[in-house]
Amino acid sequence: MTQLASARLRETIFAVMADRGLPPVGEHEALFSTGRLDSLAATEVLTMLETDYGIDLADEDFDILQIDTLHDLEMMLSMRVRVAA
Amino acid sequence: MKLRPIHSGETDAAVTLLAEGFADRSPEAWRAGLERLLAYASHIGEPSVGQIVSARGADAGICLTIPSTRTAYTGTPQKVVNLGAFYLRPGHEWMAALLMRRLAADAAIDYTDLTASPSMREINRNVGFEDRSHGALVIPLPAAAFRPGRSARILRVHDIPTGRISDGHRRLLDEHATLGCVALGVELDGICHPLICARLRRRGLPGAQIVLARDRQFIRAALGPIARHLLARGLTFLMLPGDDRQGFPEAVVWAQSAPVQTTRQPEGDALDFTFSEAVFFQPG
Repeated sequence: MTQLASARLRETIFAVMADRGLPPVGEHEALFSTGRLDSLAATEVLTMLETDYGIDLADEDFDILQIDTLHDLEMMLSMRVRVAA
Repeated sequence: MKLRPIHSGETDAAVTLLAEGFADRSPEAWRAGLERLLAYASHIGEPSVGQIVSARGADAGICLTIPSTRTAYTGTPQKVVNLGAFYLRPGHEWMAALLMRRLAADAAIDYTDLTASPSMREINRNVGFEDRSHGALVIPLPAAAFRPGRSARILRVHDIPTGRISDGHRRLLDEHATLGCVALGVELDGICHPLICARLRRRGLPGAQIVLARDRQFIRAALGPIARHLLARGLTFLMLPGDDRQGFPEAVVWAQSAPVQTTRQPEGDALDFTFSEAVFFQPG
């Protein structure tokens, strides 16, 4: 089975959702822009992107809209892993 | 998410967002304050006074970034940017952390947030801000006015004799008086200190908040004459950050008040909020 680039991040997101009593979310369902997760949860995800995945949040090329669904997150991280390789 | 700087060509877009996000102030009041701020920025050679956030091609939020250099009670001048009037339209609040990271990206600058909402305070803590105070003291001036005068004497800025105050302090007093603040010299034990207060309203009552003071001890020692001076000008309370009532028995603690949040450790005990949001957006 292919290891997802976002595996650790997914665990965090699922844990945050479980903490808040939220049901599981589909790959293409918006996490943040629909209000499912709030700005503090977004802060947690952004901090993890920075500390665990080395993403420079100050970089203007980083578009926050790329983290609104699990699918978008996966695409963004996979692309960055490929570029880094 | 994209950011575009606020300069004079963006006034209309900025006022729309500010009046929408902070409806307790009229669009006209926001426009007047923004124009004061733009004139100040132009005077000091700064290109912008904040950023407008856009997402998917539409304006989604705003944050003012007010630059200044702190000089009053520091050994070395410190660049400061006061972040104020932070607003993201519904559905975009989740972008707050990233926006703050981008706005407060220069480690050499002391970023300050003096008015963060409860949810923003937590986000600020996560992106590098630390709380430097808790709550606020609200001192009813009619009560404080009964304090004895001791050796303190109040001087209006134009009445301060040449040489009694440093050029830097005098310049700060002049500039803040022009911006509508109460700017005074306070002689205490033979030394003249600057004192600047911005006007504000709470529950319909006119009051003042400390913008510049040497320290809390100085305010405590000169409170009687300061209270009488402000009261005579129609101001009914004086507000300063912190919840320690020691030395201010007449004060009420307002626990919900936003903490002073900054990214760098303050140098010394001075209260210095010069050229902050409170100065440019005083009630008319």
